[in-house]
Amino acid sequence: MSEGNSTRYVSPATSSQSLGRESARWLHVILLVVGLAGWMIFIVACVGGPAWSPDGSQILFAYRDVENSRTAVALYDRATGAVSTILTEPTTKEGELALYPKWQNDGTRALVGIYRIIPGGSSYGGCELISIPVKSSLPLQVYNLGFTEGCLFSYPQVNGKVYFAGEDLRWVDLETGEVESQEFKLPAKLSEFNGVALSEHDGQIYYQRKVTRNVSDADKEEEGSEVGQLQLENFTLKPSFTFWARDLAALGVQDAHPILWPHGSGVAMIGVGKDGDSDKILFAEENKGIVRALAPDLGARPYKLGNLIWSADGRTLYASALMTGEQKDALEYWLAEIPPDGGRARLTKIASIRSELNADFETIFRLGMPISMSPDGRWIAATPAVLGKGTLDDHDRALFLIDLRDSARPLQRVPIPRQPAAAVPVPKVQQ
Amino acid sequence: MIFLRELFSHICGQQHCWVLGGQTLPFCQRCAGLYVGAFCALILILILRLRPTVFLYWVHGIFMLVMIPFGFHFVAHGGLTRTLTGALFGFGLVYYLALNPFTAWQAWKADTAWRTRAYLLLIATLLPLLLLTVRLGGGLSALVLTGLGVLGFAALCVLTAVNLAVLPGTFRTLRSRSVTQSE
Repeated sequence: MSEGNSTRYVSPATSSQSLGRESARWLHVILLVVGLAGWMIFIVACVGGPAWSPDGSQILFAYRDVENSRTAVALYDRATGAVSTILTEPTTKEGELALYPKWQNDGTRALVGIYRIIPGGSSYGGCELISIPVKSSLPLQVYNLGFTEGCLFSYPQVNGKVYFAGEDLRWVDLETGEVESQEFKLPAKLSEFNGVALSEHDGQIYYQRKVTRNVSDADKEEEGSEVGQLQLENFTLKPSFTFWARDLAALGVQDAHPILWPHGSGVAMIGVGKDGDSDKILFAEENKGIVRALAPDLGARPYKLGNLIWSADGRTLYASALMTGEQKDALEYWLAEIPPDGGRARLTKIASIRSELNADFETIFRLGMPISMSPDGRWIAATPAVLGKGTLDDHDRALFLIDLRDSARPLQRVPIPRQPAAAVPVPKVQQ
Repeated sequence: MIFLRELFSHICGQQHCWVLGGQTLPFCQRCAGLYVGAFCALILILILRLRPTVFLYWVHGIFMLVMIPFGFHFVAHGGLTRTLTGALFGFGLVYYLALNPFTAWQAWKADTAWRTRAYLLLIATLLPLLLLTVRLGGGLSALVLTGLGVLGFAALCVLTAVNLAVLPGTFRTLRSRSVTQSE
């Protein structure tokens, strides 16, 4: 009040300054409200934000329901411990169908890519994307992408569109439900085009595709792989580097797995070992190509690697590993924590499998049994439950969670749903 | 760290957390920027006490508005950008929260160009330092960022409480001035 009394008698000049001060103080109160409201919106948006479900509270996983001859996708809610089947597909034969579940980026719907082999049909299987409501009122939707190998590998999701690549690029706009396709544009026109496999990292889409070149000292072609980035604005494949069969042979591997795991300015790839040889991890850098190969120390037995996940600090590569067991036709499914600079890997056994390690089984392992990390980097989820009858003990047909913060690496087992699946709404086919 | 994780789980989704030297930070990448940025901002404001100007209102408003395209994912971006935009938001927020208490206590210093330049230069230095600390990784980085983040969160809470304490006086002053002018 004293301040008010004193301003009553000040000169007009001072009074106008006082009015300016008053306006400023009102402005400060408004900016305080703006600031606090902004902070509250920031907190609400951060807590409520979006596979693991984007908020880490739910996990989708595919499994074989061997009793009912079907392949299914289950949703595990970590808060309630409930496991429910959200999609089932009849499956009579091994390898007839592959389901790849993931989350829509906003966490409201589960997306399941289905690759279905059509007997006597196209050389590629049929590809569908099913969008299942989890925290959304819109009904289940099916998007038919036609015959493409695009559903076999990871399907990136960028700006509300889900991309599938094979010989061309196809995508589903999750907002409008439109399915579209486009030929890839190449820097140089090639007479032959081989399919593209996509990987995603931080909103950028990377690709790997097979290429060939004439070998000057022999009357034959050499096969190689081109790695680069897909520019979505004009569908151009922008190559970063190419490596050839002889490069791989020099590194002691016969091929590179088509999926890439970028980190910083480099990428990690799995170098597929010859026949019974172990796989290696290949590290490549943009414009340089493969700079080194790492033979992870996973002990004495031969092993195959399925997929890789970088830790946020880039100091550990988490990998699914398949190792030959002590007995004939026995395999073991492990989580390997591999230091990229070398050194002994830490191993956590997940399950025992009854199968010989042949090419078919390797394919199922690499594509159908990837490990996945929780959004906060604390947990690894892994499941061998997609394997067929007789391959897996009943006890191991489950989802396994490994706590990376616990030095003992205990396994938390989440059994697959045993009850018949609840009725799934009739799919509304978008296209 | 587990206690801090629990604590921050109430105000942070804890997705996309930095893991430095095997330690997962208790807040997400964006919140790491926000809280570390908030702490740095408070220190700068306490040292420089630069008087509010129209330019500074706008600069800090833009720092906060940057969160709209990035926070709502209109622009594809990575972890470092999340931290950077969080830090800018922190600078803007702290400045806006400091306006009332500093004005009430008449703590601002005379408006000089060098003070504003020094302030902006220090922000331009601290932001790359924050990103460098993340890129360096290691246990020390985890410790530093966690510590600064906790202090930043505490600073925001204290600033909010101080504002609540100061606001009644501000309103009384504004009302009495309004009465004076109407007379």
